[in-house]
Amino acid sequence: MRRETADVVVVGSGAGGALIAWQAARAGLRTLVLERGPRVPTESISHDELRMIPRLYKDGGMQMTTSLDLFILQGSCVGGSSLLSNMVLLRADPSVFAEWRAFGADIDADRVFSACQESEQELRAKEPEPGNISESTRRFVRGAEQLGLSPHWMLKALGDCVGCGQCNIGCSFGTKQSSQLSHLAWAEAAGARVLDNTEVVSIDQRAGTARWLEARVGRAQERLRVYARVVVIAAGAIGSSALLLRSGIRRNVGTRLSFNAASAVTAEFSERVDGFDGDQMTSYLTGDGWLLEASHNPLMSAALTTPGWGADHGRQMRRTRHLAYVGSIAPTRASGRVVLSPWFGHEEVIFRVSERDLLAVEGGVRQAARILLAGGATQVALPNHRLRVVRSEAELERLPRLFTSSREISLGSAHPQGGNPMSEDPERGAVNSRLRVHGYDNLFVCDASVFPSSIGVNPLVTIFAVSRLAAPHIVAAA
Amino acid sequence: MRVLEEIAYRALPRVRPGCALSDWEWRVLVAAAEVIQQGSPVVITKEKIADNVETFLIEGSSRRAWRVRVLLALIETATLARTGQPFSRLSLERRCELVATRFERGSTLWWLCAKIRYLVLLGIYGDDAAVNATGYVPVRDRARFAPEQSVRLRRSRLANQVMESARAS
Repeated sequence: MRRETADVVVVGSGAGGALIAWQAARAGLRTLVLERGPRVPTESISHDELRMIPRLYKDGGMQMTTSLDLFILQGSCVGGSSLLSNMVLLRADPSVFAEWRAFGADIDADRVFSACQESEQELRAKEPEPGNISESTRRFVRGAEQLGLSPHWMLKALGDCVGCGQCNIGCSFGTKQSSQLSHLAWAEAAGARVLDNTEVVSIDQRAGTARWLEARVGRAQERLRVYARVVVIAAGAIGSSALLLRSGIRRNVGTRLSFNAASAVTAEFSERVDGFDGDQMTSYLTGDGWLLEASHNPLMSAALTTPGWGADHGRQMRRTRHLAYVGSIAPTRASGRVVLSPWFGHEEVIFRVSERDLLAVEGGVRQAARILLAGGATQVALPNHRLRVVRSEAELERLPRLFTSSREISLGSAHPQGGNPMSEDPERGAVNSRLRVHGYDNLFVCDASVFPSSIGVNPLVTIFAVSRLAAPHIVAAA
Repeated sequence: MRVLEEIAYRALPRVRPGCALSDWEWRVLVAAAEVIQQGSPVVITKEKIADNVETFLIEGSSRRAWRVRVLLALIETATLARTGQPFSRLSLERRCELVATRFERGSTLWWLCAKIRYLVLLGIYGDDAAVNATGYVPVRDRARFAPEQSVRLRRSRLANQVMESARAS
């Protein structure tokens, strides 16, 4: 069995883990990062979705809740989900942090936003270049303005983005400031080591101390034991809870899992709007419990998003250049759980989409449809599996409910949150406000799993912020 | 302990090395692809669609891939009670009717079977043939990536690399 030692070992190389690795390495600590997925360098990223999606996404892109009505998309590669994200840095509403405080987290919006600002500056975040805004997004913006609404441009960390529209399968141009190319690269330059294809099986813990990690490396499943003064779990919502549970650490672990549940409407224009030609996602609009993001996927993913069966689906796909998509995103209740299922042998996500969650998604879907129709769409297909189309606002308003069950629509989330909620109260939270696991002196969690509730927007900059706030405590503990 | 997975692997037919599906499952997938591709603008054989899905499963080496195999077994056997025949043996018309009347609006069993739609769609639209059929313009063919633009792109990449090394140092 191979053995490694480090001052700080970080499990997971996504947004939270990479930032902690960088902070630890630059403080002069021997830092080791263990990543379950492969390292996929820029030059090996292609635009072949059929091969890139299964290669980069956790469980080959097939992760779902046990009720099979919600797809969950997460990265499983060096850089984690950040490699596949649009690097959208949207700050959460301050009310979210008031809610977290009520749950017992010693955190406030001012501190979080100050930490957000550091990340925004560090990653040179900026609004999209006009030349990278697709025509379909312009139609969305125009439609919103017609209705007297004020959509915003997203702050994104895409470097000198060239607008290829393939963010969700990695950046083949090497401009996106994913964790792989930013925090992790800086951590490595400061002396940190990164082992990819290394899955941590469990944490050996005794009397409130994490003693070592057991891992398996590569296809050969070589055994690796890592001794470290401090252990930081950053395997993402779901993954971090699963590792703690596998290690016998159970107090409030796997609880309060939530999502940003998303469903898309598909609008058809008589002219070409070439949504694929430009940055995937540049404009957003917030509303009553929902967030709208005008977005566009490459062809294969777009086909999966487009509703309808057979000829209904085919007719829309034939008009790919005329289609525009808008996602309706709503924060769900924190009612989900991560469990180790004896039936499946690995972690499972137990979550039921509630009536309230569905209504929130529907509210966004209705507004998206109104906007796209105002923007000149000839028809808008709702997210129902069986094609349901509206051609005017009056027609939309005549529909009392667009869907009454999660089974009727395509629903997914690339933003799972919670599972190891943050609270000073060990009876409620899994970690305290410094992200240390209750009852352990050297075990921390730094990712979206510490969110006590869904923040309702893309979580990336908030993950950076909470990790940044915890970093000095982690460095001090090492 | 992986109870369901182990049961599945024991109950399902053997898979040849280098494949993700058994021949039996692949045939069911081909039969489903033939139905779901109806109306698609993409000219592609049903066998190629199934091959693309298998490529997707192999590339992902997902811990959940065995569920796809169970899904295919479910589709194949779900029709037995109703028609007396497995799904893949039904005529194309019967399969189309079944998908329209059951998969698209049925109970839990059929709703589960309907998940096959996602796999078949990725098999169709993940293929190169989908580009011409849909009018989708691949990145390399877009105006913004024309040769005169490529200097700007190269500069952008170079600037990024310089920035990274400066930061790292």
